Amino acid sequence: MRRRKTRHTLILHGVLIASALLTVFPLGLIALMAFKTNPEIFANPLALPGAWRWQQIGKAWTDGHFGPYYLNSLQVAVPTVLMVVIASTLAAYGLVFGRLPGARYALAAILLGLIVPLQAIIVSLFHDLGDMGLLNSLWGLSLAQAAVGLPFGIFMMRSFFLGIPKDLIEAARLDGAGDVTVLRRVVLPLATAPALTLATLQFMYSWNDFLLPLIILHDPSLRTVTLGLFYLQGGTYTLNYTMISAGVLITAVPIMVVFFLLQRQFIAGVTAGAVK
Amino acid sequence: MTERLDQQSASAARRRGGGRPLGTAIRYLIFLGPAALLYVPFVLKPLIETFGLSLFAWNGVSAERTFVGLANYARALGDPIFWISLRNNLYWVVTSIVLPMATGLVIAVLLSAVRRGQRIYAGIFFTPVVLNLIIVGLVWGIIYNPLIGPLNRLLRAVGLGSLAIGWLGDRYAATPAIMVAGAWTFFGFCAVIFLQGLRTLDREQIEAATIDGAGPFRRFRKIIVPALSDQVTLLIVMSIIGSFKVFDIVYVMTKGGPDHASEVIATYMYWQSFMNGSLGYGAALAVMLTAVVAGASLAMMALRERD
Repeated sequence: MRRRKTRHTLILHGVLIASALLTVFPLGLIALMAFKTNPEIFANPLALPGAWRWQQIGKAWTDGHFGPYYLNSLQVAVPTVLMVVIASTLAAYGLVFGRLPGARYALAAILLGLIVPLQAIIVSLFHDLGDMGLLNSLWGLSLAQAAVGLPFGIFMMRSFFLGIPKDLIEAARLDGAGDVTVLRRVVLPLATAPALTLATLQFMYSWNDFLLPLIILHDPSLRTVTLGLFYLQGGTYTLNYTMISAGVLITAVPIMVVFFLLQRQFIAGVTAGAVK
Repeated sequence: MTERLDQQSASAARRRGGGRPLGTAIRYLIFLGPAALLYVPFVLKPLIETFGLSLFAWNGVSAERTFVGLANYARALGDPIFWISLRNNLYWVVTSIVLPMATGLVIAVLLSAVRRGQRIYAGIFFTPVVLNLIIVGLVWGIIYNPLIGPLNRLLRAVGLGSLAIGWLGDRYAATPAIMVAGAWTFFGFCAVIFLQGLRTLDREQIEAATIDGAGPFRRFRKIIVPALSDQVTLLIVMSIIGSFKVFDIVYVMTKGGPDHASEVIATYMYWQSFMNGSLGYGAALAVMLTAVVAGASLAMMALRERD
């Protein structure tokens, strides 16, 4: 009986390891290509590189302008996350505990933003941003991303606040605490965990966003990492597979490192985003 | 005594600031003001404008817009590329329901049976979910590449050289090829959702069925699948929404080509609006896309409310 169980476990792990290898196979293959020369890639895409040419990664980093692109991405993502977390928390608090007459209409307007796809607003948004002088600007991108991310943020914080017992708020009010005090002393200390999850998710959305940067940023020096990677294949490097693979490596590795460090929070956040 | 304490803490709160209840207008301003400042100009206004724009003919440059009523919508009905795009979106729906969900379910059942390493495995299967679709598109673009792609090498090596084609340049193969890459980014998500469902599963029920002589397939069909019906519904609705919104991965891999063969509504809308200078028509496509996605999203919310 015991031996049978061991054999079962072995087979199970065997299948899982094989599936895991199959899952990462495409990524591993591209990682190897980044170290190969173009002739090596053409000779046999599956073989190991003849030498570990780290200088190719460095060259891709420089020629692909990834240094400035990383700074651009951060310059967009950080304000976006701050705006979404602050505005969502305030709005959700107001909707749940703010005793606002007509709050349901505000909620309905926000729900609308949650069910409408980005494509529904993109053309008009492009022209409105142009009228406001926010095209071709990292700030413009930040504002647009924050606005688009806001409905989800409000919804997420709201569903958390709905779980806070009303008695707790009432007790604080009876103690003479006003709206701002209740928010600062009672609600915010409880809201740290969901706010952090929201921040993580929003950072990922902002970092991975493609459509908004594609239409908003025209100046090559303003490109985000994701947009810069996209333009690697369109331009001079179309047939330079070393360069494209190195670009993939340069952009994918940091995401994977952050993901593995924050795995629990990431998975909880992304799935909660779907379920809640 | 308690009363005095209450009074004390009340006045203390007041001294700390924020003690007074705020007036309604001020509350609105503080709590909803920042959200409105973002939401109204950058989401609500363009949304309304898109509906309006769909009733006009406009090239995006000239000052003149011509009111055409519902002509842009009628144009879609007679546009073969619109129907190709819509058909491809429906292919996406079917494929993303079948392929990643089935794979994810099998992986989840396997994962739920191991005691060690569950988190590490889950992390690996989840990696494609967090990568952006430009990375995914470039990676799979190389896999499918007719010159250096390992897929064709593999096919030739096992004697299926006749199947080795330029996947993304072929009008029949392009959409399925992109969809496989899309499935790669979704199955890990499905697995994690299913795994959460399986955690709530009654162990004793399975053991009882095992003792009663039910084999693994019968147990799977009779106990596990019914227990996961909530997760299945959720993932199906998500697949529908995602399949109609799909843009990035198609745009980076084929831009909707060759000759619009892998076009979906979102890429076709982008092409009409930003490349072809038909903004009114693009807006009409956006409105139709919105109707489908909004309907599916409302269904999803109704499902959540039910729980």
